Amino acid sequence: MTELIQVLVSGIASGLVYGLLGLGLSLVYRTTGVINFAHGDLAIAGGYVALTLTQAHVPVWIAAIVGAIAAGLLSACIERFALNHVYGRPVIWLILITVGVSLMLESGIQLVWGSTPSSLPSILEERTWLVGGVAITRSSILILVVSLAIIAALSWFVNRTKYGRGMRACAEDSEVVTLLGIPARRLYFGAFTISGFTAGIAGVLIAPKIGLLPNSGLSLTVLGFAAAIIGGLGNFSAAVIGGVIIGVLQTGIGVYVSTSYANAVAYIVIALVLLVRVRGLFGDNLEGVRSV
Amino acid sequence: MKKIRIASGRGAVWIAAACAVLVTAACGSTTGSGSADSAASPAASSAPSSGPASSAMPSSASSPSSASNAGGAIKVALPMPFTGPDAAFGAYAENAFKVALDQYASKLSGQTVSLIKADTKCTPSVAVQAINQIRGDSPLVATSSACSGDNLAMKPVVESEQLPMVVDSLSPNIVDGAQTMWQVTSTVEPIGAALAKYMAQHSVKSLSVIHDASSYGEAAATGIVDGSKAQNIKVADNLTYQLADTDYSAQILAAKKSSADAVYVEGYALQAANLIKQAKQLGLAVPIYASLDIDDPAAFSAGGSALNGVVFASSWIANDSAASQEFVKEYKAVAGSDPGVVPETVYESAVAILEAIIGAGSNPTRQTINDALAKVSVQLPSGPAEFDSNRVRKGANIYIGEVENNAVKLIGTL
Repeated sequence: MTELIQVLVSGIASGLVYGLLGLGLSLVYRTTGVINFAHGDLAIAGGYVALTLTQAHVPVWIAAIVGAIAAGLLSACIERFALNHVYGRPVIWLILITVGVSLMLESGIQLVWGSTPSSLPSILEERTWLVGGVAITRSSILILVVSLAIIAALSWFVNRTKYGRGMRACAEDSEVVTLLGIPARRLYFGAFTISGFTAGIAGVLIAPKIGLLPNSGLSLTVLGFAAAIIGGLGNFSAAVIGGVIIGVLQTGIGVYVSTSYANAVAYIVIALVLLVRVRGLFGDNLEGVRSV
Repeated sequence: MKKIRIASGRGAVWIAAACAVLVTAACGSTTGSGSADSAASPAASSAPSSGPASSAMPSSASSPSSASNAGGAIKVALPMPFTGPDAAFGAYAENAFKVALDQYASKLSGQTVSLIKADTKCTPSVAVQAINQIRGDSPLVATSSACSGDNLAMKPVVESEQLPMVVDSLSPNIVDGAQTMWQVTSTVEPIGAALAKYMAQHSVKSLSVIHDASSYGEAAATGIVDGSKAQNIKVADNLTYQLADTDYSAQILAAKKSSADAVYVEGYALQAANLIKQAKQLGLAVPIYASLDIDDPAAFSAGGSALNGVVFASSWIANDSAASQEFVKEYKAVAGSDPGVVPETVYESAVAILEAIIGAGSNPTRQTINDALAKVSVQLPSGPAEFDSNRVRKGANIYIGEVENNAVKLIGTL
């Protein structure tokens, strides 16, 4: 039983980070229809910015916040300079542009920070509690608290503010949103900025665990994408649940079946969801909305 | 404002999924070299009809082995990963070569050596492109990539070009049957056997093995598994992970479940260190043994105090020999950090190449350099070096080290 609980705890801790990544992807998709393949690179860029600050003896938690903000600003720049001029084109254009941006970010990170693996110190001093034989790390608790805080803040923003409601409406009809007095492009800009910020947070949370390599972004994007698909692309809080499902499945299958199969889980679940329930487990019926 | 056109939900999601698969497939070996490496057999790598092996055939006008420097700089090929997740190897290699070239500047009798770099990305298919690109520059000799899969993929081109190549990667059997490939470092087989012997001496009766799924990872795991069996150590588990993994809980919990006396962790510096750190956090209390990359500064940075007490075997650990001390001092002056085993193996390759260039006389060709490699006899940081009739180094030591406070303590030499 202890082993099973440990599997759940470890799976949830890793899955929450995937969920945070999926949350940002979902927010951008919900607002703009774009799936941002540079999302994971934003997370890595945020981690590298934080690393630079820690090397300059800035306290880690401040460096982490600045790193997340830097990722948000970078994401805003991507929206403004790479995507802003091609809205209205087929969605494949936008997706391919984000793929290109991802490669550019990867190369840029390598140019600035080099190719040698680096490690970001943990925001909290590493410590593990044993509760009934189950190991719980301080970083796991931090990830849980941060994830819940971000979900709560985004829920409030999307449901209670004019711009948040505008973002939701954008998915249905951007023209109507414009007629209601909210420039759609401002919403797109906001969605990318917030999404980049959440990617940056995920980056500074996961970097102490996996280290920093210039090309790590793609694998983070894929995990975030899987979380978003499973939860329901467009439903950002469900993306967190999707991430947890992946994390728990990966850990559980690794322990009880074979570690060789654990990594296939995300891809298999994506395929199943796309085949059986394209809007995900908790997603809005965007397909139906868009077919109107 | 123009209404923004958005694809249908299903269409957009399928397009994105297709992009994810394509991009992941394209970069898969760079994020986790397992899949690409595992497909790295020479035949597979040169299979396309217009592929590298066929296009690499020498022209009939002149034999490749007669290629010479024709009075100019002697060209030495350096196919290495200069971009991608293993780009650090390329940087290490350049620094290591610089140390060797500085040391041999006065011994080359006025000959100059120029390096021809080509990026393999630690991806076999790219490595084949790299060696073909290099081929156009007519180098007289080459060092290998640090990635074993690259070297297996380049082997057909190297053979057809009769290009002498000094191999410094650690997977076994790379030079088998290739008349111009020379293995300068110990491979994972004797290294695994040495570590298993050490474990047996320290009462390890059962072992859980965790390794990455790259061809090197598989080879290292095979080395430790075979070595363990020879020492009557039961291998309780053989667990894998991908280099791009972000969490190792599954492997660690599976290893805990096996109740083995010890755990062996194979991996590149960052992954191995992160895995060990997470293992300690999850309460894995048994002794941890590791592969040789754990001596890398990147591993110390990632693992910190969690690496204390980790024991590993390696083809080289900084030791008291003059050659080792000189190399460490000069590498540090060039790179600004202590060398790990990767730059050291490239340095050994560079020294063997430079010795052969000297041995080949004033107008070296591929053939004379290849002949000279057979006669190389030099003291390297890992011990004396000569090649046997199979072009494999003989006389190399195996070192056992322990990590202690972000440094390596040499605890034995075999």
